[in-house]
Amino acid sequence: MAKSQIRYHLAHPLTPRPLRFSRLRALRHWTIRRAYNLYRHQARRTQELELERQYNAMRDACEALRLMGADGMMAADGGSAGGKDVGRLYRIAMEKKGIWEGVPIEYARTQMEAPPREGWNHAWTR
Amino acid sequence: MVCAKCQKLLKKTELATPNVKKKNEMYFGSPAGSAKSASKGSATLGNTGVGKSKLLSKSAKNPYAAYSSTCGGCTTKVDSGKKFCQRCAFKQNACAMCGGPAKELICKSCREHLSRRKYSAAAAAVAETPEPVSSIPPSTQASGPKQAYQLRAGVVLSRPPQLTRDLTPFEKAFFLYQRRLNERLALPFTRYFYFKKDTPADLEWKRKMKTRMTPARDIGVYNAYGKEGWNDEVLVGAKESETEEQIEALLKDVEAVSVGGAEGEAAKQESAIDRPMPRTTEADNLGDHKSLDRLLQRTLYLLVKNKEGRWTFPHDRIAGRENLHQTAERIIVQAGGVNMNTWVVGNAPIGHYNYDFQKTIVDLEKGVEELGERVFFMKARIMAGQANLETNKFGDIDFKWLAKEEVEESVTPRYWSAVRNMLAER
Repeated sequence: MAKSQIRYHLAHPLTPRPLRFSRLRALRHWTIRRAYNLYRHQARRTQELELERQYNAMRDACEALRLMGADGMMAADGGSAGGKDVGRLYRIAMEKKGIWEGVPIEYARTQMEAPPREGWNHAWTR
Repeated sequence: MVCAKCQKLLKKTELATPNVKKKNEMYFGSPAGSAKSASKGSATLGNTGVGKSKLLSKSAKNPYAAYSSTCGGCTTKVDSGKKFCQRCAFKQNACAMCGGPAKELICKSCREHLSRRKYSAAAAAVAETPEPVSSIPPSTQASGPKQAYQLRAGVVLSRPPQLTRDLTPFEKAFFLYQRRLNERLALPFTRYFYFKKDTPADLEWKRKMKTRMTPARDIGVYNAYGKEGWNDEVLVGAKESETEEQIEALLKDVEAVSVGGAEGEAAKQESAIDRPMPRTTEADNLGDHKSLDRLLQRTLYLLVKNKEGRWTFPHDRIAGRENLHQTAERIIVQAGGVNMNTWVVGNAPIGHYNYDFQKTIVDLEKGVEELGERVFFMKARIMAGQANLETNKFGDIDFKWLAKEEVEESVTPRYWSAVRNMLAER
């Protein structure tokens, strides 16, 4: 029944709908599309640059960790350049084991159109 | 790069073109040992090259061969009387003229000259022997305390954005434009597929369609099938593209159902529609920097004010064999108390901040002279709760939850330049 209903209603005499534009309207449409594509490109570029900046900040921090001894001195500072303590924090930081354990469920909350009715839970206690 | 001995030689020469032979002293022969023979003076009979076959050497044909000789290190032609070209002389640390060791014999002016040109000619030489270039003097192990940096971990505790961002006017206009175009392209609404004929829902639908003329509820009054179907663009300043207007239109549509319901007044009271909460909260209006309800579209970062009155991210020294992740978790608890539901993201730092103290801190007990501090920032998220400085172990006075540009206003420029790249724009 439902299937025949769907078939009946989809077989509309106006299928497919023609979209006819006057010349100026077509030009306008093209311009609007173009403007939107440029806008999106710009937005994406900004986002990429931001990610790149964040990545570079991380990389620089990790590089500093890698070259650093337990006393915080680097070989470039004339500090201790050898020993097993050089880059110890770096090696631990690069450890991937277990980083996905204990991810809180609240972290999966997506962004909404409107805030929750009761607002932020300031009174949360452990 | 000429040694002191040869420099004296150079000074003695008053000619603009030193070591140029007179014409009768010239011979068109091999340039080998030209420097020696030139200094000797007149050419001997065997040395004139009169009876010499010109096929003997390649350079024999070159009448200017006498002026030049070849560098001892490479094939570059050098001025007569010189052993090396400047490049090879520099590489081998030898005098360009006599070829002797020139390590200590570079005169003062030459040394200045060399240091000035560090980034051009000497770059190649520097690349071969990379010596650490540093303003900090190397530590002297024998005398005085050992030099070190304070190793610290900082926590960038942030509340992620709760709301989607506001659309730009261009985006709003474009989305409405697209939706109206979609109305033009879509098949007509098949009413009987959704509503049985002459049911209340069907009547309701008919009533509403009469006013808004299109199945879509939030694109304004527009009929894609009528005579004016071509006129789908809104005029400048039209309200249909505004998000608030669209929400209002949707709400009005739903409310109309409850009003038109056959239940009567009681039902109307009961089914009052819950309107969505406003996107700007009370904390926004008050400018309450302590509240986490502020700036819901942005990431908020926790900053604390330390004893000196400086705003920073909470940070502390890495104690013992702790790693960065453990330190970060400890700092969150020690700085903001236990009543925050937080999560430290990953093991790697997201940024770092180096600071050389104006005056080094000497700790005689440990025998350590601290030159400065290195802070490595870890990323953490807060899911619920609020910071409380009552149990703060670092002597912090105050805290704030700030968005990125507010962070810039609070911290020192030096600190800002170190942390700005790791913070998210939104």
